[in-house]
Amino acid sequence: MAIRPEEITNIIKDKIEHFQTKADLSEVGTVIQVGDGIARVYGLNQVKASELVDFGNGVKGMAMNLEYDNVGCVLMGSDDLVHEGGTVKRTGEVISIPVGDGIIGRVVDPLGRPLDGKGDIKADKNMPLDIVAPGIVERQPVKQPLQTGLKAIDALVPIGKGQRELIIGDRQTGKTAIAIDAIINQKNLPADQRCLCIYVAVGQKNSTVAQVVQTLTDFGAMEYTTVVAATAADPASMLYIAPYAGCAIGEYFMWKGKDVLIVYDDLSKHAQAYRQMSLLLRRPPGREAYPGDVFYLHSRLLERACKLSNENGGGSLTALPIIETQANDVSAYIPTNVISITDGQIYLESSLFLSGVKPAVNVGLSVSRVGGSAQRKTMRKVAGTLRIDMSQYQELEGFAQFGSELDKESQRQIERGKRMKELLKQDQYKPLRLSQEVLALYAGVHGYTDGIAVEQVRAYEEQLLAWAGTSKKDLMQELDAATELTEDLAHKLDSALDEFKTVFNHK
Amino acid sequence: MKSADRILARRYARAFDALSKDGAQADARFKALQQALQALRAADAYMRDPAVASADKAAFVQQVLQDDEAVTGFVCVLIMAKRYYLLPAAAEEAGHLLDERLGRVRARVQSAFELTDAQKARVQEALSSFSGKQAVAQYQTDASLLGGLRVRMGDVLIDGTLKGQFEKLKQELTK
Repeated sequence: MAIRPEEITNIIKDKIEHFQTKADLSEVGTVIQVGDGIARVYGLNQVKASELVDFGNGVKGMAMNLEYDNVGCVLMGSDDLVHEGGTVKRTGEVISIPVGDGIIGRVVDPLGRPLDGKGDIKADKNMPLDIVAPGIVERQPVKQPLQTGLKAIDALVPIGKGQRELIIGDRQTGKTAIAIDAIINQKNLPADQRCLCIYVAVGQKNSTVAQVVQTLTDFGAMEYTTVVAATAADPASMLYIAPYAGCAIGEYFMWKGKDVLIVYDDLSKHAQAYRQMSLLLRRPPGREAYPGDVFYLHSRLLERACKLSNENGGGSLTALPIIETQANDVSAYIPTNVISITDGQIYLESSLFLSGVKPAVNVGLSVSRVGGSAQRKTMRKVAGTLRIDMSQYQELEGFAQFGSELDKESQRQIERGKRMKELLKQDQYKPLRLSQEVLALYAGVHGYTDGIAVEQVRAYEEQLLAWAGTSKKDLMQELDAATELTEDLAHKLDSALDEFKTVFNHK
Repeated sequence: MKSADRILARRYARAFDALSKDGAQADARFKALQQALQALRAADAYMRDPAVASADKAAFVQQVLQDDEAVTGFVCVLIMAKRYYLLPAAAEEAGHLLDERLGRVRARVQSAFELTDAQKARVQEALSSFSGKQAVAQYQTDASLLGGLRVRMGDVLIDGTLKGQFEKLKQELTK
């Protein structure tokens, strides 16, 4: 683009002409102490809780502690630029983020500033970060399914639009992978049914965030995704506001009637950032040195996930918070808090992961408290028997290891379970369409895999889906659209699977 | 100064202020307190010496300050409570309380050049009507302001200087 000097001169001229030479009236205070991202300010007598204050030099802060003779503020920038005795101005605003359609596909920081070097973001309005969640009348029950494209989740722990489903597990168990797959899977849906996605990275490495963005770009998922990043290098205050910023962006679209999926990766680091701020502000520590209101910190965030009533446009905000446990300890403070807030959890186990079960979902401990009613009926019918198969298998598995003699029925259940376990395995970045999931699981629960060696089951599934995608297009389309697994449809599936028996190539 | 100390100093100042029956008496006492502070500054090393007994310090204070009983008593109470170090802060707080009692507000007016008496009167009047209280202005000059006035009155800062305008224009243009 050519730069025309006259044009720039005109713009500057215009700005100078319209510049208002009015005396500036502001309420101010004086910095009495600064350090560790915290400033104590004398004065600012009228300041309100969580009001944004201006320290000059482009550094903003948030008034957190209003004490008898000073105000404790957290800084939203470097504390090197703030000095003792400096002036602090009230802004009269709460902290907010500029939002608009232009923010889709971008990587931003929690204040809405672009981090991807693609220029300014055109904003329609400013959304305050901390809004009270929609009330009871404004909502309706969760009843639509949100497809993650992962068989193990869509079948056993279904997620509904507007639900809050926790993903919990140790490091290196594939927590982020599940969330990313759910985002990528939206690509499988027609553009008008897609969820807009927001990925909030809290306290992660810059390199990890870059990798996630690259993955999403490679799979074409960035076109409906916004990444809000507060990395490990950012001050604790930025980590603290990041989930609220992501949520505010999500709510903007939700109130416009869109479905939004938001991933908070992860809330353990968020709680740690809040703990750091609270301790430096000299708030009294409680269990594990977290402040007393750490439960409220997460409950007010996750309460904002909701399915709006039809009068309000029927939009939804589905939250997938992630919690990292230490040594599989789900009874630590933050995990128990978030488990009790959310509508269920997907529990990932490192032992499963290491034994090759990926996604490493522990079927027994994972639940979804509201998603069942939202599950598509075709899937529910297939998954109903699956859950029983799996739990019976787990019960008998222990016996089988002793090599004891088992009756024929038990042996059958063990053989079935082994194959179902194989069928629930799925590679990363390969989310499936609903029809593919139903077909694969249908084959399993109706015994079509029983005659195949356990090691061959995944090959069977792969070939089956490829074959159905080419030779049974109509059936798959019907299955995608079907709201119920009618006898007629089941019959068609049976005949297709019988037909595939002859096609399947044993390796 | 620690924030707990400031709260303490305010408490002592409030007690000192409560001793006076009316504004005129409070005003006179405050002036006496300021003189006492001035007088004791010369003996600061002695007053803060931990090796000297509190009773000796109190006796010394009674000798040096003879004019107002309330002021002498106030300083002695601080000494006996081993909080003599609070005296300057308490005196400052007492000043605020006196201003409140008399319906006064202190303002610091900065300008690039020395103001004429007529200008000062206008500033005083404007500030009084703005704050609804009697404004007591203290004038300073700062050539870097270039022109206009900057007024700090309590928590309020009114910036009408050329320097401030240029800063704002700079921000506007670089946005």
